[in-house]
Amino acid sequence: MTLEESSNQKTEVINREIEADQKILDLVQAAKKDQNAFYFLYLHFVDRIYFYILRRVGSHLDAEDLSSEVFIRAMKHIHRFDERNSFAAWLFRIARNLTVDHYRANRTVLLNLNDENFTLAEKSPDTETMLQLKDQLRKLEPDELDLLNLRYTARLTFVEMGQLLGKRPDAVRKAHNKILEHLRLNLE
Amino acid sequence: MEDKEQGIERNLESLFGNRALKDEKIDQIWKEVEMKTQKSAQKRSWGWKFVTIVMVLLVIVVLAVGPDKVWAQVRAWLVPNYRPISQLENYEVLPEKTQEIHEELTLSLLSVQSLEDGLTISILVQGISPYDPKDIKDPGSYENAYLLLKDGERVNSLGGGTGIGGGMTEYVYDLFFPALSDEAGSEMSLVVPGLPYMAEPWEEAWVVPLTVEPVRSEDQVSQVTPGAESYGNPAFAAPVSVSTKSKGIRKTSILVRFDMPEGYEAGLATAQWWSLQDEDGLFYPMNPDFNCSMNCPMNEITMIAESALPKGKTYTLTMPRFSMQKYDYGDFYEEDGITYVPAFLTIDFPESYQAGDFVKVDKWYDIPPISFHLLGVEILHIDDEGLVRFRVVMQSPESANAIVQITLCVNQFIYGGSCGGGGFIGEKRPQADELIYTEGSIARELLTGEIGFYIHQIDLYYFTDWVMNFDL
Repeated sequence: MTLEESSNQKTEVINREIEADQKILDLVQAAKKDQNAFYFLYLHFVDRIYFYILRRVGSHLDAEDLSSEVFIRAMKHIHRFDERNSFAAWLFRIARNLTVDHYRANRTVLLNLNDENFTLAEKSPDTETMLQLKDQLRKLEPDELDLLNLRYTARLTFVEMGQLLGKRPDAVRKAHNKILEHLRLNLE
Repeated sequence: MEDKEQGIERNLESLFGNRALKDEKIDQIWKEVEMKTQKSAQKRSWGWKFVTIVMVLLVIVVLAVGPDKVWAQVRAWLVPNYRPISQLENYEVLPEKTQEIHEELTLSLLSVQSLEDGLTISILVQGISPYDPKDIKDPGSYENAYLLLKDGERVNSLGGGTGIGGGMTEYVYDLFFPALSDEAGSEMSLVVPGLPYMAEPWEEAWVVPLTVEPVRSEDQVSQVTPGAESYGNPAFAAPVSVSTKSKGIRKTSILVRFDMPEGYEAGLATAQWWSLQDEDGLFYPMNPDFNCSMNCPMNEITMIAESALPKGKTYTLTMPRFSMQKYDYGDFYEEDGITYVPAFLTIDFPESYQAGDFVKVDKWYDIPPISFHLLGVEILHIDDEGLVRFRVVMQSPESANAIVQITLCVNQFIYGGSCGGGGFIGEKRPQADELIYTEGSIARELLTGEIGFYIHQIDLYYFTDWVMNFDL
């Protein structure tokens, strides 16, 4: 791939992201005016919220309850959401806070690595590597696992993760790369 | 190495990759959301039922007579100098063919506003399938609309916005374009290849010829005529100017600039109390503008009047409430894998304590423009598993003039989210000696010895009697 092709590809990705952000913003604006429109935001985020929570609390029943609570709170307070920030970061902050409260109340683990909560067998052609990776994940600190959960389950950008965690995006990116480097070294 | 890291990223994506939730599960969670939000809505007031019935009757009458006629008549009654679009000299932009059936929908061109800061075209889309959560999952993918100028140049839309109606059988779609230069000419076509919330993509684009005559913005800056000084009027954040910008016949934006203290930003929270009245005593509905993009100036608030303000009058903007916030995320740093923020205050907790104990601090802190007296920390409750619920107790002389909220966070435990909000809530003006509380909870083992706290957010809500007069 030439430098120009690579640059064009990046521009295309950025443009797609801007377009997607704009669509979310349109939905948020619509939801502020009309509660019915919130349903589209719900549909857009429900999968990610559910699995993000499931991987934090480990139980489908709790994940279901907490997911509904996230959207109830978001719907009630959407008028307070400042559109200068990312809606995804705002929504996942609600989800994250709820799981922390749940953790406090129930003393459950903050990231659950049960096989059934991951798509291990479904997608991976290289099961052994994946099992090793999973073993390594078990050795990570809870906040490191949370970072990966935010990145790969919630699919947040570093900017959004920065907003959620109250850190600078480059600090989040560095922390993420550090975890990847750590995993790479241990898998070698 | 890069390849290997990308490999790990791919594996993590596979491992964490979400399975799609089953439709039944999605519906089940949504039902729960709906049920709980409806329950809380039902609690609010029986009065709403009466209002709803009246509104439904009103809608039936409006539909019977014709929405356009009713709306024009209402505006003619309420808005001085109002005339329907067709009678305005510099706003004759409606093309002959303004409504047609396309792809089984009725599409109507409502308005075209060509201003110095952009072109907005509003389309009424009618006849979409009634709102059914099972049928419509998202706005769908559709090609963006564009303008085709007379010389063949294509001007792409910057985006669009929908105000989705309750019944979901129609909505108004606002399309935004960059401002057109004089060279663009007045003859052009609007090409709409598709719209959001369509069940199927369109086979053919909707093309509408347009004649666009630019309507120039009108800026006007007025000096403040402050009201009398009074109890609770924070002089340090006084409004210093107001400027208005007319946007065609539809809206006027009113920008109020404040002289803010360092680090604070003006909050929109209290703008709901603001009102605008002309010299004849007529009120004009307006709402805060939330769309000021990424670079909202910290010392400005823009309000949008729902209808353009008639010229030749003196207006009075009354602001009985004003809020401002200061956020401080601090300079995070890491030590032994733990993230910290430099502590603003440190409290020494004893090795053992129980519910009801009070850890005395007795220190004054200054964070201009407020100062507060931190009395100490009250232990509220300790559960069987050692989770401590506590509240920091403060007093502020300023709290008599404003509602003060202070959000404190324990600096060693950011990951656990040990931030506690609180303070005065509600609209009652606090007494000078009233206590301000900020609550938090944290595991007991993390709340012994010297514990640092940092201030995450300060919210000040002032009662003011600010009045600004300006002429148009």
